[in-house]
Amino acid sequence: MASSPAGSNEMEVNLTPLLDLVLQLIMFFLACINFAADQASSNVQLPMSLSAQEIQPKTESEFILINIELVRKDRLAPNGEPIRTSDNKTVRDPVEPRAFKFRIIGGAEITFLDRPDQKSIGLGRAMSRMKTLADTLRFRIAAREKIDVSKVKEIKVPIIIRGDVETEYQLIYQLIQQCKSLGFQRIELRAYTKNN
Amino acid sequence: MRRRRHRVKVDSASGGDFSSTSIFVTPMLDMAFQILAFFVFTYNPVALEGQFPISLVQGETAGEEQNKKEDKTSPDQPTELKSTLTIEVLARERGRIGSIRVGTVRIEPASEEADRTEGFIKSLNKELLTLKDQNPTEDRISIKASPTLRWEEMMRVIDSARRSVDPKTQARRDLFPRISLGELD
Repeated sequence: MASSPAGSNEMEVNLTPLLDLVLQLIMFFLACINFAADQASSNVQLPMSLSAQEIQPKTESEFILINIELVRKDRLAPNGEPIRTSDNKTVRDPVEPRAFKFRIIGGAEITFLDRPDQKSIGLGRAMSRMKTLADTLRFRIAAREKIDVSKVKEIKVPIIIRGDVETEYQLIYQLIQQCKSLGFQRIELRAYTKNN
Repeated sequence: MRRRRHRVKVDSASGGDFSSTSIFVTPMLDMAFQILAFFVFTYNPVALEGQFPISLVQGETAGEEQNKKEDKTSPDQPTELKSTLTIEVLARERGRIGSIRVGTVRIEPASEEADRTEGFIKSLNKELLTLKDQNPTEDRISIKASPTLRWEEMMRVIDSARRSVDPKTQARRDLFPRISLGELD
């Protein structure tokens, strides 16, 4: 009787450091997953919209997200600290000369200055990236439906465009136009929902 | 008597076993709190995003041809005609709205609004509500805009065309949810 509690104490495994380790691992993975899932660039300042519908994440298994962001930097106070609004958000101004950035999932960022010649170069590079994506998707559709690649005309995977408020209409319009000609059928626009 | 002692022994033995295999709740709780704290600190209440589909004005791309064919075969809309309603938006300096035409009607900005864009949007809403009353079954509209128009201003126009708030009843009304975009030269 007297020796049994002492015996059980000897056999006891200290779980606390183990749990600490597990916790650290969980933290690490959570952080990693969050960064991987964050394809939607937070640098894009979306326009407001009354009529945008809520996104149902379950309905779309795959989509292509195109972020068009205006390169911005924090506005600094004379002491070098970023100026913050009442809700602790930094005030961000466009950098001069103004530059835009395309971010398409799985590809490098495409940065270009806000000049007509640069814009067409930027758009061209974005489109070559989209063409690669379109070709990959065509191959996948062809393999799934067991038909020839040349017979795959339309791609049902939606393209979601997140355009910055400062973007010129031309840029978004040409992007949509060229995506359509690549065979993408569904184009969706993103905006912040506004209630009134 | 003997049986009773035996039982006591079993009880105490099982109690001893229990203490050696018991789960430590405290570190578990620590973990739970830390995870909770993690989520609390990383919670970033960004504005909710929404989205809507868009198409292009017919005949502007090669892909549209297939759309036409599809429309012809669809039984519920046997005679799909090109949307007759159009909004044309011209930009002025710095990509702001310079003038709007709905069909052939030129929209004048509402004078009571200090901001010109707000004035345009207000008048546009009014015009589109009457247009919807005249064409209650139509749900398509094409919007053509200058290439230099800012996206924010364009979105305001798209928004007005898709949905509007009735000034009398304050109720939201779907106007022309199927938008096709075009570009002005």
